[in-house]
Amino acid sequence: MNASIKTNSFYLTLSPFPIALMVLFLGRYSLTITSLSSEDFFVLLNIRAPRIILCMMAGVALSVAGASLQSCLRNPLVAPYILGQSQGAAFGAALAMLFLPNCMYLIPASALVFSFIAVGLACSLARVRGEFSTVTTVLSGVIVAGVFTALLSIIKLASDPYRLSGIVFWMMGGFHKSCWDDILMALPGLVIGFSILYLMRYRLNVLSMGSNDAKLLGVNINRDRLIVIALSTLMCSSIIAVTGIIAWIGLIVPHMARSLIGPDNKYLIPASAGLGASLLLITDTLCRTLTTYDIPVSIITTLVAAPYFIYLLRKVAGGWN
Amino acid sequence: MITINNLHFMYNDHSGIKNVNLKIEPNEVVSLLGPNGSGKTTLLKSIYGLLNPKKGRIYLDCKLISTIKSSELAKIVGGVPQDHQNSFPYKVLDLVVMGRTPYLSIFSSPLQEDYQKGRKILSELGISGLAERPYTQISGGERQLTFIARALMQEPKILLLDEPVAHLDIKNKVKVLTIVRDIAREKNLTVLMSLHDPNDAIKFSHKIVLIKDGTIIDYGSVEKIIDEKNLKKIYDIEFDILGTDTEKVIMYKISTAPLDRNETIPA
Repeated sequence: MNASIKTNSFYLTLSPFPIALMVLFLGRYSLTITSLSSEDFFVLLNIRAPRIILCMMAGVALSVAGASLQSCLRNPLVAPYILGQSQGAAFGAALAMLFLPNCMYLIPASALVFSFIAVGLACSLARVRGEFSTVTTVLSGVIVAGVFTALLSIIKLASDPYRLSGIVFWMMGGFHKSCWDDILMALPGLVIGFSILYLMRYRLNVLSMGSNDAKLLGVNINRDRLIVIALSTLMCSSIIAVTGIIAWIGLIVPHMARSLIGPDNKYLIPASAGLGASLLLITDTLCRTLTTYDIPVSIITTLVAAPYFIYLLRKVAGGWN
Repeated sequence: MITINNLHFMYNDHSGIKNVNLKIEPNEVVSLLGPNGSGKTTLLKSIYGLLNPKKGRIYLDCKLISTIKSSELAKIVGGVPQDHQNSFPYKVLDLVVMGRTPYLSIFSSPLQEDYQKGRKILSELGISGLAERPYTQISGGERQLTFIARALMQEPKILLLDEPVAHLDIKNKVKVLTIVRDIAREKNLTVLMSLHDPNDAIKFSHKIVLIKDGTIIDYGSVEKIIDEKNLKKIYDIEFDILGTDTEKVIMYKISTAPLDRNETIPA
């Protein structure tokens, strides 16, 4: 039993690497591994490789953030955007597009900053009488997300059609513009978030038993929850700041991983990371090869994930066994 | 072991506890009897450190509870919560090993020896067979024993049990309470548990606390506490006490006529 969990989690964790090698040679510009011209190398190095790497990073960040938050708030329906991360980021990006559209680095920076502002607001709202419960956290997230959506609408109203289409396209999320700079911008947040959350893997198990149980076991639950929320926001917001909002991956992947290898975060975190990266790689490859047009990745992730989630809801209606 | 001075915690004007004074000696098994909503859980939660009382002090081992760090508190007090809702389906052994959390830093995981310790405690409680089962799929009695095993992993001096036998059949009730009594003796634990049936309290505890409307009505040895007057005072119904002084049996009386079994049931 234990051995099979270990092997499954090992394969899931490593799964993105062979997939990445395969999809590197798939695309509208055809490449063959045996004869590569210098143009081929250019495409490989400056278009395909950064796109694939960023895609894997996004898969890791969103899935691990989702898995950690689900454990931390002991709620399987929690997604990485539960505290208003995505709406904050969208507002930040739109704000930058409206006022300083020519400054390349400002859009992700503003998205990241506003994502953190949204989460900070939600966290301070969530703290009722010193307590930091799941219900208040989720509700505060809903409130903050609503407010930022309204603010975003104001910006949309104020934008000319050209900028408006930019905002809408950003919100759909995708890897069509991926470059090495994006990777460099997203990498620090991903590395810091992932490594500390992985170190906290056992604490996440304890947090997932619920606040009363965690307190009985001597855990400073308010502090630990804040740490997990901050780290997962850092991870997922650094990514969506450069890619735009990528939907559903962070909600679905932890569930798939949990059904394959169980709830222990020791295996769940690496397995979610690998599975998320693989799924997003496959989805993105479909996006760029299915049609002549580069489809925003969120459209496919949502269309695939929604039915799976319905299936999941029906299967587990009586409890998360 | 536990000293409570003038403790006061009210959720609103009606429920909570007020002016509670209590002194529990080391290695005693003490039962808490009182009707629903009388403040049993509030009292236990205050000793767990889950609630911050507005007034009054709690000392554990002569240390003021508010000055004890939460991880240190979890090494003194272990307990079984009344209201645990299923989480993800961890294996029973994994759940039990979580009892080592107070001894682990935020970044560390339990070691092989912690798992061995977990298996040892499971076999002491006679539930080794459950180790690999998901804790969400075991029976009520097995579940109580699993949570008691987790509390024992904390190596506490005090064990707090909030209605440990509330949903159990008689066989499992006797099993759980017998284990609690034996474990308390073996490991020199002080036990405070809330119960509903005074008969359980008589059989399995040294002393009894009677609590109603948030105040302690009486506290003392089983012989002293259990009489018709006291029981009527807390439960508002009449009781018959049978048996001998050392082995009392309590029967409740009902004020209305008993069910007429010959009556025809209307269709």
